[in-house]
Amino acid sequence: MTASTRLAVEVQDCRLRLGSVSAEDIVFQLSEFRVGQDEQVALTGPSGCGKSTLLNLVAGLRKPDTGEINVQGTDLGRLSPSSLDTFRGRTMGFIFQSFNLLDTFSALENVMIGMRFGRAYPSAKYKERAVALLERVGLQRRLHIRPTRLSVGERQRVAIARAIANQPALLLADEPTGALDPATASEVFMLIRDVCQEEKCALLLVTHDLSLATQLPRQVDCLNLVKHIAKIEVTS
Amino acid sequence: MSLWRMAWRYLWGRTFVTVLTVTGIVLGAALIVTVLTLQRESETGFMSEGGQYDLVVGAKGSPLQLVLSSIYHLDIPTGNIPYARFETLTKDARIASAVPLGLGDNYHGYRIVGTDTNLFSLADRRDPKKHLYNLAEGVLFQNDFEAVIGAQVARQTGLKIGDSFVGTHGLVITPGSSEHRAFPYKVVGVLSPSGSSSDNAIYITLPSVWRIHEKEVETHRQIAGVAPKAASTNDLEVTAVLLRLKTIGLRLLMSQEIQKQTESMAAIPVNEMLRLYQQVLQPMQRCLLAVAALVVIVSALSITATLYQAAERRRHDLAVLRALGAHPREIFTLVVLEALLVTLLGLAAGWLLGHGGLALANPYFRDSLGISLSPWTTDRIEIVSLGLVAIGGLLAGILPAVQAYRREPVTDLSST
Repeated sequence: MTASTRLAVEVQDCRLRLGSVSAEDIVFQLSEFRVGQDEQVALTGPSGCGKSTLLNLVAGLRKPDTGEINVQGTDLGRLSPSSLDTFRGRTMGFIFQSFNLLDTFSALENVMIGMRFGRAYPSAKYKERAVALLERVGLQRRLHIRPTRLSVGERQRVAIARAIANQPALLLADEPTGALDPATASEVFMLIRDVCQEEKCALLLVTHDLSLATQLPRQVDCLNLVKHIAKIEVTS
Repeated sequence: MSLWRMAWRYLWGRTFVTVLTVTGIVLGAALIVTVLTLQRESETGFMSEGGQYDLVVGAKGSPLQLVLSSIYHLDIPTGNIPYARFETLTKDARIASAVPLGLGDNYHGYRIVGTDTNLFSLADRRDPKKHLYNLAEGVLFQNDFEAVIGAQVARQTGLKIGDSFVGTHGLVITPGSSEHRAFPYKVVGVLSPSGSSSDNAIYITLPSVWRIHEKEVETHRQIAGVAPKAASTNDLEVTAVLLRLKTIGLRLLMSQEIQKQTESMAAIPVNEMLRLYQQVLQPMQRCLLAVAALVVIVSALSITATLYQAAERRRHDLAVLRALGAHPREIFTLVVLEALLVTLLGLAAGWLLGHGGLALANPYFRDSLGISLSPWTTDRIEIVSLGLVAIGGLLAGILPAVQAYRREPVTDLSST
């Protein structure tokens, strides 16, 4: 077993051109970043410092121009687009600030759709596990309700259930409490932390809330981690 | 949850737009079904009835008019020919059967046709084991002023065996036409429904026609103060003679021979109906098919626009599905399935509407044109046409599906 297989996430010498402002190229650069198996990490930092970019790179939703990203020992750059989708669905769970639930479908169906594309369980198991997970997050009476008729706290609970439905090795949470009031935010945060412990998955959580961040074993300030280079183009 | 079910749910998540799009397909498909069925049924109906006789002999005039008036009971006759012509034809060894027709009166708009019982012994050329005309009840006429009525006549007028009625002069209902009250008919037989023009006709003996009109001529003579004229067989006339030949190849030769006679002509029914079909009905049907094709094309464009818009509005959903592990090809399939479901739904409802509408309209066609449709029959051309519509609907989904396939999910997901 190599060193990288013991890690949930390993990023090395990663560089990504984000775009340009006037004549300047904005480049995201990260020399090294690691998250261990079952480790829970809070990514903090001001807006625009690259937290979400890092999350998207780890998820394989963005591809670095150079460098290597390993998740569970798999180099994402070596996967074909379809294999990357399959790998992401099976290995990673996502929780977003704006929940990103599918409004056409009920809470139960949202979780089952996550399982359908995660491909971790046989289809016969979808319903049983989805119901169990929604019960675990306290939504046993809201299974057949559509997201638009759920409170924001309930929506995020559905998103949590969906994210862990495939028993992912890594849970990526992008400002999961950003849209919630302090009391609900605290509840949801605790829930994410607890389910990650129960499901034995690593957690990489982006938050602006330092009081919540400090409740996780490790905090990483993106400002100290990621370099942004503004390269001035010389035009003749 | 299968992609089919997801596509179905997405469709009904935008009910109003889906209903509108499906309605477009329904109308196009129903129009195609209706036009193709009417085309097939009118072609087989008209042609097969015309094909029952090899030649129709009548007074000189329009051959089509002669065929329509004597076989289909639609147009007015070209005139009369001497009964002697009919007798001559019956002696011709090349003729298998000759049936005389005498027209002139109607009952409630249904034509009263003087003929002989040979008409009822003709075999049906589509199924030679059967007769062309079959009695549902009663007997054939034996005596003058006994009548055998068509099924539609019985249904519409309420006439039944034993009932009496009087004819009105002329072939159609005309205000002020005189009724032949002195010569009532008695219904002795009712024909089985045949889906042909015989449903709308009343058959009597030829001498009945002669006697009524002989009396009428006599009355006119008396009014005019002209001396009575002794009846002579030379004065007897028939309107037309239906011929079946022993050899169908003789049709042209015999028609040319008869054409040389000064007082009569012969028309080949199949040729006349084919010409009518090709010159009048076929162009109309092609126009209707073109309209149907346009409706379908507009519907297909509407599917493209709707799905494109829906895919645009659902960029966020599709990005979420990608984040959850959906392959680009699954996203592509999902959008295409929506197009396919809209199209299949529209086709199924259109097929039902088209055929159901024809089934409902069947009594009208039977009553007004004497054509009985097989409204639920779906032939190969219809299946191919509807299949092309399905392919069109599928293709309409390709553009928005490719758009969704190519889109990078990260741009549509929320970011901090």
